[in-house]
Amino acid sequence: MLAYSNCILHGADAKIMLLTLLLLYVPLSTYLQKHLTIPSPRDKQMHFRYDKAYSIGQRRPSEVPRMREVSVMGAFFSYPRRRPMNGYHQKTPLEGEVRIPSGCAISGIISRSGNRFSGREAISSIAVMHDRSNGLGGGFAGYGIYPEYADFYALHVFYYSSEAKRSCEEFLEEHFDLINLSKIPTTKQHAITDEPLIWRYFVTPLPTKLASSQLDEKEYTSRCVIKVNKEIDGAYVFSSGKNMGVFKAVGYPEDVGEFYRLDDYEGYSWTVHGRYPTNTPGWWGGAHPFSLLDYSVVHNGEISSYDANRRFIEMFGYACTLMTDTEVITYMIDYLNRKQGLSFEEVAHVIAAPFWSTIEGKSQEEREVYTYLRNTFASMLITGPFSIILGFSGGLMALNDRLKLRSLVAAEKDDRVYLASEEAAIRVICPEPDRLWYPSGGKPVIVTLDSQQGGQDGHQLPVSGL
Amino acid sequence: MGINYLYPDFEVIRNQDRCITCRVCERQCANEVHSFDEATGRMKADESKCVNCHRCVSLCPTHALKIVRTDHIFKENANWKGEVIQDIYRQAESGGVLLASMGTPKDYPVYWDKMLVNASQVTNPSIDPLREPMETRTYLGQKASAVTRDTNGRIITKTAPQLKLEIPIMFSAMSYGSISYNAHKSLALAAQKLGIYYNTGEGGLHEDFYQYGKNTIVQVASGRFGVHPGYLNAGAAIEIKMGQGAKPGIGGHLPGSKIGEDISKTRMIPLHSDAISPAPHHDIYSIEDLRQLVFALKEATAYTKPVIVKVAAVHNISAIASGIARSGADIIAIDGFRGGTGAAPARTRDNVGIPIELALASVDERLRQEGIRGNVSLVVGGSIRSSSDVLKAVALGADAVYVATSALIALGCHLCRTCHSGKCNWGIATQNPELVKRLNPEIGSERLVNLITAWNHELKEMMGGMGINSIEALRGNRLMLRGIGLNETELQILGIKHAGA
Repeated sequence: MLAYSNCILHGADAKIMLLTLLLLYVPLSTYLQKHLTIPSPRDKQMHFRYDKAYSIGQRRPSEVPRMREVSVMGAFFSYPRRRPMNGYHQKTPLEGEVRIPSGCAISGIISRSGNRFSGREAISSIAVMHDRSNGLGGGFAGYGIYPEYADFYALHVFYYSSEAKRSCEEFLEEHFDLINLSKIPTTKQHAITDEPLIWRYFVTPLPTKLASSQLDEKEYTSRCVIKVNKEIDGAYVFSSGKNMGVFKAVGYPEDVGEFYRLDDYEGYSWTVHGRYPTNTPGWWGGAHPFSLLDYSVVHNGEISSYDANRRFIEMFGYACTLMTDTEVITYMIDYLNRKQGLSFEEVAHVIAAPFWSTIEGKSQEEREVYTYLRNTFASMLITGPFSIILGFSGGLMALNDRLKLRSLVAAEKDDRVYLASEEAAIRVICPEPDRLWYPSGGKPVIVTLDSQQGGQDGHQLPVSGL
Repeated sequence: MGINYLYPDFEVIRNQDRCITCRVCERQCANEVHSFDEATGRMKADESKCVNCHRCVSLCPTHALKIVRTDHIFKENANWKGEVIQDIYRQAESGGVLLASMGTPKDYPVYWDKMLVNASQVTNPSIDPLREPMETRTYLGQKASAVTRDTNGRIITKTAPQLKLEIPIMFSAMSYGSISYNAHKSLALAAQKLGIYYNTGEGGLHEDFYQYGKNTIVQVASGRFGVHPGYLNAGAAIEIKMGQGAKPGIGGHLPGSKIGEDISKTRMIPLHSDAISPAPHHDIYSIEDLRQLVFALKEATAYTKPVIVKVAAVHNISAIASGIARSGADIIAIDGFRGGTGAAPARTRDNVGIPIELALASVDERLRQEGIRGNVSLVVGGSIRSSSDVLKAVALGADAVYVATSALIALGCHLCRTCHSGKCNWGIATQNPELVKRLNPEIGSERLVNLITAWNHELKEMMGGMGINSIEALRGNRLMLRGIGLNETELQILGIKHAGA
């Protein structure tokens, strides 16, 4: 810890640094006392659970189903229902209070050999699809961009007030060692306005707190992230993985890329999203990608199953604070892959499950597995049009809804695989791919780094889902 | 005999120009309304016996008959309405409990009719079920909370026992005794053809119907009529009946006059003895006792059958359901207070319990708040009248629905609400062999298959309109519903927004 305290120096807020250093000298007992409780997004529900029975006419406000308007569309955003952003959007309709139909563009690039490249190609790719977005949201996820901090969670946070920043940092310090913190460097863009404070923290869970929580590191971290997003007004953690980062804003995606200086980052994979909501100014948190831990999702579509999915996943401690369908997809993937240990291919068989008639045509063993997955996780089936690109540590997965109601193209050249809403978005950065194809609905395209082949997910690679 | 204070409710209007005195009305009416007047050579009617079941109307070859409500009135009084006065006359005369049948006719709110359904426009294509697959298959039963794998990393696919429904609709419990052999057979045949289930009710299972076991839910009620190991193992699932929507909190009474040879054998009780179902199960005075019965039944069937616990929708239903969800039960069936019955005290039927829509919304939400919605499936009944009721129930959170009154209507029931008389002219709610044979099980089952198939078409059409092509994506998807003319509290309980919001 002392060793790290040296690297806190550059770019650090002096007060926070002082606090962190002070912590090191606080007697152990005081320390433990202070950090006695762990965050649990289910706390409230637990209390409720043991309450005496209540009559249906007498719900407490916290128990009342929270049914604010939800834009059920992937690309749309909405407003965090419990945390009005003080001072923002006071005169215009808030996101989530109106229905926002949309179209979108998505793109993803990965180098299977793990060669790192800057965000420029992703910017060029998405710029071609300018007309698929309308300037109300764009964003990127880069993987492998923080090799020097690869063992630490990189938290990217929007703050809408200095008070929110104070509360959030207080919370983070209670639960994590802050290894490095700084503003995320940006370059002003004419078209990008109203930016919140954008901060980045490299953190690792406090060992004693982690031990007393009896959770694994990822669960601990994800609960902390959900707690901040749910409970601290004006603070929103929009990226929380290791050696990856999400960069998003209200604006056209190509401007967002310049704003965040993505030329300065190098990753082995990138995803990008351009958004086309209408009617309201967007909110920064509502832009894509949506991310939790290492998972990030960019999504084009409108899922008709949204509320079925949301009401199911919220049973497991997730809080859909943004009320957009993309957020719920991210949480479902986290639940199925990380918590249930399903491979990404199996995840695809849950969220874009084959039709029963297709399942019946399979071999008995496959039939049993498919039926099991579909039945066990019935409420995680996603219907309605979608194409998504999921980023995860060491790979990408592209997936269409089972009827393929949204466009999705894949291409391959040398060690690169390209995924995008339109062929043009691939050809602009890779004019002559070795092959190019349109993946079928419900068939995942999963690409992982060569170094990870035969890894824990056991993907059949280089590329599945032809 | 004193004065008869009761004036008939109906008038039988006979067009004498059309009547050919074929006397079919006379032969068809078990209530003996019609008779032939030798003196005048004309048919006449004793309207005091008429229950308005339309049997004579339907069979009159010249359409000479119609039944109209009498316009004979009491002096108007908003408080002391005619029916209130008549009920008092009846009880002053008999000193007894007023009996009634089928669901309550009172004007309570029907929330199904106050919810509107969404459809896709522009941003999300609607899906045509005639062109694309549209799935309504549903599995009922406990869902695994964690995926387990064998040593080779393969998923272990064994699950708790499940009921597989091709359509999320089942025929709910009606006992052999309350309805006829042919009515039961119609339901069994239809369930088999549709890939769904019918329910024996509490009267045991006639030996002829064991062959339909794969599509049968066998019920264990407080009277334990006809319950033995063979019976429990004959069905696809076992239902413990704790309560019924039409008469929560009370038991049942099938009069000895209906306990003929067949029924006495099926119910395992003496011929012509009254069949009394106690109000509670006398081995279940609390939730832990229910748990014991659930596991006793599972032991008896080697854990191969899902166990359903059926309860009436009452005020505290969500807490009750939460307890049941932790009792080992696989499925909770909730019966709303508009549900039907073969006989119930009228005051109970018309005043006890709550509407199924509110009960369902509240239970589904409560189970989710507690994180145990996956422990159980939810089946709801109590006046599901159409495919849109089914759709709204699923969107509120039900896995499937139970229908009974709708099924009886498909078989010819005209909702005259006099099942308790045992003189059902349509051969449904009677044990009189002459009347029973009026219902042809082949035709009856075909009508049931038609009804449920038609509902399924409509269900698929509406799902497609919403851009949903599989029923599981509709389940609990309350954003697909909007309230119309509901107050804030009602909207809160239903967990939906008002139309336009």
